[in-house]
Amino acid sequence: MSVSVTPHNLAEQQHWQQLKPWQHLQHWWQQQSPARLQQLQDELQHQLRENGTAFSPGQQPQRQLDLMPWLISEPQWLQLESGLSQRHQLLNAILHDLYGPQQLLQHAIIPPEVIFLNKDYLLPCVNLTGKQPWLPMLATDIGRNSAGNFCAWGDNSRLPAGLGYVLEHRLAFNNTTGELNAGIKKSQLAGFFRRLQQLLQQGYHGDNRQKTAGILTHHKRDAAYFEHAFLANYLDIALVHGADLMFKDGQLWLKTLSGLQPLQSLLRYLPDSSCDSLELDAAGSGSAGLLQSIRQQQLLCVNPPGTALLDSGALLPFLAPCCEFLLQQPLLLPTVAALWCGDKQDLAQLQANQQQYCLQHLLSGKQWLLPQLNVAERAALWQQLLLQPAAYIARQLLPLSTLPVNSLADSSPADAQLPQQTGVLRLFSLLENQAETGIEVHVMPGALGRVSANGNALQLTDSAGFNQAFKAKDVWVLADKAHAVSLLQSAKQQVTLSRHSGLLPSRVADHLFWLGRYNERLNLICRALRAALTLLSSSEPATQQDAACLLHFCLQANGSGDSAAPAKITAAQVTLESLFNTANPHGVAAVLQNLLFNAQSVREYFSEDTWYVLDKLQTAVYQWPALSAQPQMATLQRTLDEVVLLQTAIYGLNNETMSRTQTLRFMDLGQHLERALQTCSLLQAVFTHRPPGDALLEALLRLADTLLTYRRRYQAELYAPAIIDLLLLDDSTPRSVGYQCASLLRQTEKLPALQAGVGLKPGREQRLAMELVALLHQLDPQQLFDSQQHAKPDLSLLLHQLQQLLRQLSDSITQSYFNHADLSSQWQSF
Amino acid sequence: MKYQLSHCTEYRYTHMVANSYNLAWLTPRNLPYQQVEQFDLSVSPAPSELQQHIDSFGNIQHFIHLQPPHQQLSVTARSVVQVQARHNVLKIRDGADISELTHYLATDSSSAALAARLCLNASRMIPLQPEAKALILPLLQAEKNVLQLAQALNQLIFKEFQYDPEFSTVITPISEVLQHKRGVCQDFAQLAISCLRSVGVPARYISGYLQTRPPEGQPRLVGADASHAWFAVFDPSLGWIDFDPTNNVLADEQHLTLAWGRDYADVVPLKGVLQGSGEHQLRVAVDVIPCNRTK
Repeated sequence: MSVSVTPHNLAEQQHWQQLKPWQHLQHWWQQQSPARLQQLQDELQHQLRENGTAFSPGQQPQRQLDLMPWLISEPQWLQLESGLSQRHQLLNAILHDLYGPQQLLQHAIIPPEVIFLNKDYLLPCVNLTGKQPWLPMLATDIGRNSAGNFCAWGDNSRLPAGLGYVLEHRLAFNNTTGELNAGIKKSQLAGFFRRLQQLLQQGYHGDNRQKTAGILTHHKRDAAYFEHAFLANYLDIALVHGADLMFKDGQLWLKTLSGLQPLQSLLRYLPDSSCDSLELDAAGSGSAGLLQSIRQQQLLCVNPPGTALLDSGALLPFLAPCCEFLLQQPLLLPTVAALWCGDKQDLAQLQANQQQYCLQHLLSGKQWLLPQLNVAERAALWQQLLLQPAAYIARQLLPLSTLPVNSLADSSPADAQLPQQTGVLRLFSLLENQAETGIEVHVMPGALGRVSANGNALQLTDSAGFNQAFKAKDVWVLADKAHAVSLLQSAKQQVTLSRHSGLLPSRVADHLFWLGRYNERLNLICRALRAALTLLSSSEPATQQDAACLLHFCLQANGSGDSAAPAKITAAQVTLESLFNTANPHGVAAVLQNLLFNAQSVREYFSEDTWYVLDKLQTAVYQWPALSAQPQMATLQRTLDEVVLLQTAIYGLNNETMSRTQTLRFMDLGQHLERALQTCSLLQAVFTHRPPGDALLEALLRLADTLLTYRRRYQAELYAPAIIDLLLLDDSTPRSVGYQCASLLRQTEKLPALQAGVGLKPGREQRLAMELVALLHQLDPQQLFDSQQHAKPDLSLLLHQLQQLLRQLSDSITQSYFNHADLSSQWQSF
Repeated sequence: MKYQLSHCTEYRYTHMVANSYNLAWLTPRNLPYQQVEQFDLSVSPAPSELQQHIDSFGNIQHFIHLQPPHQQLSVTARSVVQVQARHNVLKIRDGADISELTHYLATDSSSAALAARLCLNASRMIPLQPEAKALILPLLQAEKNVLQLAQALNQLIFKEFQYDPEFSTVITPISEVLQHKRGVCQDFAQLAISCLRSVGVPARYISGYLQTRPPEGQPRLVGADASHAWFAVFDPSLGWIDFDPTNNVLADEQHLTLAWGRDYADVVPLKGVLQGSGEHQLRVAVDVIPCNRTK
């Protein structure tokens, strides 16, 4: 299979043909069989962390990583690097001016309407950063114009904007394509990430003692969120939501289990206007006081709210004169040709060449690819534009260069050329104001490459990240003297902001607690269902009736609140259907969804293996047996077996990999609490309605994994008080209520101390756990049954009392550790 | 005229609240016709943090944080302010023609012109509505002078719109004000601004107060016992001229200027967010008393 580039001219063609790395790439590619290429492509894709994780069945996969890297030669890179350095400085200076003295407006270099009609120009941000940089980091979109030159066409100030993907892509290549990698000397990315990490750790004051950095992300569980979690883990900084933050004493603090931690820097992903509910959009999910903490120079925000003005594209038509005016230099990196419709000549030019432009509305942020509109749509849009032309900007669509893409089918002839697609680059740069040397810009020697068969669609700006699926390329900047530092080594060398247990955000503890609870709930429901299915297949009517007991337990385990008498056998089928119905909010699928929601919310706390198991669980949800047809018992059994196995694996993995003790503690608490609660409810379902048959008792012992223990102690005879002793009181049986209560007591003793002087010792949680243990200790199981081995009302009362105490314990943990104040955490504006 | 000014805002909450963050635009501005001799902002319970900075319009903005749980919050601004007569009535006939103004706005980019051009567009609370434009268009037939146009509009709103404190609490969407022909001073100011901007005249929103007790022999002005609001229109040579549509007058010695912006939202006297649930009761008391009368 052969590979070629489409050069813009002969000179460039010769340049590439003489490049050793390019020769190596071509040679290597020709040697691989199509099957081998396919295998490598699959392995590469598998390396992507969110692979297989979709958020709804139709959504996956989000991103495909192409096996063919995008090479950038040294001369090309030097040109890009110097151009980007200047451009980043320029944009920083423009922001300082527009949010400050407005010389650019007063000297008529930028028409004021372009700024004043822009929804992204935020007046509360005027003079926000003082003398500190307005734009510590920038992601620039670059394509090639018709002359073949690199040309910037878009800016992204809302980060990380794909930075995490770049890292992930490079790691995937390092792990997958050894020979290809080794033969091509390229610049490493580690230095750039280390610099970013230092920037965040130092904040404004260079004093990183006990201070914290974070990525301010949103609540949606989308592809962007996974990028943030990945990057947070790599940079060893916290992943925070607005609800984790609080303003106090002139700065922002992160609410953690052991109190408030000062926050010195944020990589900001939340949209500009939703960052501060006090000064900006009141409905925003950010934190009141965020602007104030930047104003008081206590928070380094990368980047501060207000920078979206750049992302709007409004400045593109004016960059060259701005550069002359502010930096007294010609603009090095060409900017895409752009028009401001408020200018009559520009408007006429747009009207004559509509097919070549992307139109943007500054008031709403909407954009249109004009070549994709039909005549009528374009006419309607034009009418709308003429009402207020000054609010529109048009950006010329670039022809872009084409690149080979690895997507040949197996059946293609061996000498087939790889297909070509158009591509764009996103480059990242950091800007720092050094005391001695002034402003310095560092460009990452690598980039996020995106390719598509439709070059125009690639050129829509997308400040929200990449929620459309796309094909990505790792971009290799060729370097003769490639640095020896590998990314992985550097990850170990980094100066760490240790994420000790005290740094666990309360929100995370909350999710982990519920993750523990839902995981256990799911486990018990699945086990009981398996047992019920076995009983149902019996020909004995009495045994079938026993199965109804277990089904009843399953039905109410997820809070259906239906405490009516156990269903009759005739209803068994109906009950099963209801439990397996994905639309039932109390069904098995719903528990699984809740489990996954909580797991995904704290995904950054899990090892990669755990992520993998969670992905499998997710797949199980999507392959849930359909109930329209008669459900096959065997299919149901298989599904349940798989779910039980996978979630058992989650516990195992977490016990082995989660080093953060408080993290694990909250999940553990959730697990034990839920197991105690559900076991009480199971015993209630089995014993307190009618005397259980032997088949049911045996099923109960089996589902609690205690059949062997029981047989060892009591031989074959099934004796109700003995079973109660084993499952309720015995604190050496891992599934007994007694065992859970003993564990709860142990764990509550180790809960982090809240503020000194608050609360008595022992804490409320510990006292409740002690009460539970004491209640079980004073019991004699024989007393709970009459001479016929029928349960007395005492048993039901006891089980009820235990459940009450357990619920109180859950509420108490929630109040003390998750809500943080004894007040509702609900925000309101007035 | 020298005034003693006090503006007290009190919130009572049905439940305890905590972490209340507030922004206040309660400091009178220093202006050619107004000098602030004393100013004091007191907050009870004692704030965890009280900071101030100058906003993009040159107003003083306070940031107030109350951390501990509380059930009542009061913010009191007290000041002594000297106000001079502006004699703008005499200048109105010297106002620029609309065409002159339009030309000026299209060509000039001095900082004065930029401030005016910022107040030419729709803003968050002041959309440019066709009904508002329809209200001002007939006036435009007769008045080519921008200030006389503003004065005619001032009069029109005063005559055709009913002052009704029961109708709206603080602020009502302009469409509703137009529909019911009633509102309070904030509504009238925003309505006038919407009309003027829709025909290309820069107009801004002014938050302030009126003298509470009228000089002897003169009637008490409406809106005197609370915050007041009016609007200003830009003239290329005379600058911003203030009109009070609630009283059909030009703002003068009895008007005390707090802050200005594009609309109410830019200069709310006191707004905030807090942690907690439940209802709150609001009580506002404003006193503007000429100093020589307090003796």
